[in-house]
Amino acid sequence: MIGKKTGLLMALLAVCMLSSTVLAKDTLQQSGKGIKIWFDTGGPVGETYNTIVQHGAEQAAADLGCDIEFMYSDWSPQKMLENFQKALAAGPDGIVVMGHPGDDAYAPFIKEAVDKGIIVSSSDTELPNLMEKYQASGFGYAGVSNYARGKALATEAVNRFGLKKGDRALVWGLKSQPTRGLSSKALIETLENSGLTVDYMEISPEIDKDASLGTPVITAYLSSNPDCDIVIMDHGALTAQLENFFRAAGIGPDEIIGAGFSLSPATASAIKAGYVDLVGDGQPYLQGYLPVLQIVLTKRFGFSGLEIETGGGFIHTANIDLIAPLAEKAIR
Amino acid sequence: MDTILTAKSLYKSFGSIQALTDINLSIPKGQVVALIGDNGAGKSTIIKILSGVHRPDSGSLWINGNEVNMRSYSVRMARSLGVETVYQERSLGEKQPLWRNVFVGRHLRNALGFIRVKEEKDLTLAMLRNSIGLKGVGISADALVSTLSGGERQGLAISRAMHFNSALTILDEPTTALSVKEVGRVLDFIRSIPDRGNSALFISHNLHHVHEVADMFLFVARGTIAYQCRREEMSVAELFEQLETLSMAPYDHERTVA
Amino acid sequence: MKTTLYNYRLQLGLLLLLAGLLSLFIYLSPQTFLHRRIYVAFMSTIPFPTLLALGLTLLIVAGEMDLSFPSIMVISGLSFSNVAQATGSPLLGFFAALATGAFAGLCNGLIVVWIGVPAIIATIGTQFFWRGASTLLADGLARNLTNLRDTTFHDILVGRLFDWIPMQTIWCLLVALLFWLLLNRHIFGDDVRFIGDDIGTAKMMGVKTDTVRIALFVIMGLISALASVMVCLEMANWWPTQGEGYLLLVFAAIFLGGTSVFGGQGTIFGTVVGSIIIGILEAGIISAGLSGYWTRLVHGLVIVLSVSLYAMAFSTRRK
Repeated sequence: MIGKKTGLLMALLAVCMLSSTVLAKDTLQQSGKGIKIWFDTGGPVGETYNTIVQHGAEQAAADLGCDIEFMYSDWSPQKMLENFQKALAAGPDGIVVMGHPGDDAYAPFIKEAVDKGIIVSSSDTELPNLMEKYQASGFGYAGVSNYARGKALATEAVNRFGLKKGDRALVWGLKSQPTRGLSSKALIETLENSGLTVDYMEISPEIDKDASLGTPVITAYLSSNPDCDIVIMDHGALTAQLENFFRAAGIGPDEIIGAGFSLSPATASAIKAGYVDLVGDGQPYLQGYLPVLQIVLTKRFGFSGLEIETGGGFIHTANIDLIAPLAEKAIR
Repeated sequence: MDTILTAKSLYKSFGSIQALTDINLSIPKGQVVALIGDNGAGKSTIIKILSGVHRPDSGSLWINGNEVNMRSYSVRMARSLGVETVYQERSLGEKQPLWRNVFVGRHLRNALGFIRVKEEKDLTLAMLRNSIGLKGVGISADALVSTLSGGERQGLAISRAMHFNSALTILDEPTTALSVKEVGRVLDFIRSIPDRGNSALFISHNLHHVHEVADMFLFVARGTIAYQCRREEMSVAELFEQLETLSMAPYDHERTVA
Repeated sequence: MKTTLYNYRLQLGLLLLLAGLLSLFIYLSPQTFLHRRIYVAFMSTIPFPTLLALGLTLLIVAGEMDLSFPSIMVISGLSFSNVAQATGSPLLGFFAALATGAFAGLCNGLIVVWIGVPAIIATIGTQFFWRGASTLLADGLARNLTNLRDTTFHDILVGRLFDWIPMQTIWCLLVALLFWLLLNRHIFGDDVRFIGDDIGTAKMMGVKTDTVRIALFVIMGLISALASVMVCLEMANWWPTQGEGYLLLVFAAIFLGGTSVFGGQGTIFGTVVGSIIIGILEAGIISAGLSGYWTRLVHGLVIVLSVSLYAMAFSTRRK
């Protein structure tokens, strides 16, 4: 004879099993279950910018329930290609690339991937030719093209601060780098088209890594060009140091307009202090989130690749209080 | 007889090679002892142990009648006990000025370890004026060792030993690389060591030099002291003969006997 | 008199080079180089690489090498910002940074001296290790330290004396003086010189070579920590790539200053002047209206020319 307690337990178990099967029938599955994606974050481990991208991708993977593997390329096109081949060898369902090496460099590898049935999507930097060729098989893009972000920032600055013919601007950027340099090019062209006199300086590899070394350089520039009205840093870390640069050069808050890209904690406090007035935000979190989402959708439902412009965000004194706490967490 | 240094049954091996076997020697106060032997006989290893560079595998060392703790015995300690060594090579810092070379490892210093540079330079200058083989340098305590000739270097190393007036000066081939005149001065110096009541252990290939200055000869062969005698007992010619005999002797004594 | 001049020809040459460059910059852009502002900017940034170069000079004189100091900086800086933020006391943070730096230096020393890995190889390894450790621990995020700006500790380390002289310059000069005394007037420096000259000789002369070499790596760790804390305070920020930009500048400054790459010889004065020359070049080029592309070229030119001059000066003398 079955004991009373055991009987009760078995009954409970039966109810549980029944209800769980019933519930499962009603609930949709996570769309990304069982999908494996390799994601090249582009930068080195731990750099502010690509950490935000990574956080976006991680969130997407968590939301969708897919597996994600990150790669780091120290912003080197060569390494990005190597990483792509590594990912290819692992045979995942999808690979997300940062487009820095360009159409031609990627073409043979991406062809191989598509032939194997791997969905490739790009983030950050555009690959227009490959996009055209493979969009139907799920090749998408989420990011701000470098030229577009430079143009947008310059246009916004001219409008917002009423810059006019004869005003002087400094652009400090990395024009000599392929693709990446288009942003500086757009800044210079847009400002010049508005009639401004533009001085351009190239960021040295040392200052690229240790922004603190830039202090004497910008001080020298500002002393030699006291009529400068706006300083634009085409570089996230240098934007974060604008306040220190201005302090060292003996320039008070709001004396010269400071503008740049990407919102770090230091940039946020510089906006509050009045040293930085405008920051263009490419919303990199979305550049991590959206490609993962798109690959999952393509894999599951065969959608074609999406082309999404994530830029167009600007941060200034009016909205900094909303955005600053998110910047601390590497989301904005 | 009073001895400055006594070594009792020193053994030393490097890996599988037994370099020294049962070395026993004593150096009397106020005498010059010569260590004679073929290349590779173990002379250098003996002096490196006596001067604190190498540690023996076993055996004991007595300096001035006191046993030395071999575990803490070092160049520094040897010097503080009055044992000073003049090496054949590598005893001078090439790129350093003369005064640093004279005082390296035992600078005149204040309580914080700062060197009394002026004093050291003056002493170095005085030393240069009075010593052997250094006439070519001009007189500057700041000159670098790399500007000295081989003889001048030897002279500096010996002058350094003289300056510190050690109870026992060990000289490793001090007469090689010297001109005839310089050799004379070095031998004069060695001969003068007992005058001050000090002793010397002198290593040389040149048996003529050895016979000129040493009171006692120790013959080293195959890592052990094979024979010893006093100067009066042997002529230079006999020294040569003895050395040759020992060098030709079969490798393993005991086995041949058996 | 003549011999004194001859003995100090390297130092004099360097000073002449510095004076020549400054006059050239003043001539090309008087509006920049005749005002105090640019010199204040120099005094606020040049001390950091200079401090590192001073520590490294001692190591190079001893015939050792350290490529890991940028990473020791970043890990010490992380200790500093974590402890300073957690306890609210930058002073405690400073001690944490020094402890971290000393520990990292000790690791280098033990690997090189005890295990016997050549310094250049060992420190390439530890450089990756500490950089990786700090990004991992910080989760890749920069730390905002703006709240430390109002502390007394900030003013002591990187404040502005009389409202214009950056304190880091004062500290850097004090360290330079201390290191000059160490290298030229102290038995420690004497040991360092002999170790670099010929470690066998140093051992035979009774120098405790192991202890001294390990101490040198620890000193380098401490200096890296000090530099890092100053950079963090000056920039009100800690970031994961901190220090990376200093590597080449520091080596350039040391060899420009006339320290021998073969060990045994080195000059603190030369390192300081070398750091200044390296530190002012880019600003001079920019204010003269040349583009930044020129900077590297001029850096390279100055270094190659001066190092060649040293080589010539010394080989003629050794003959």
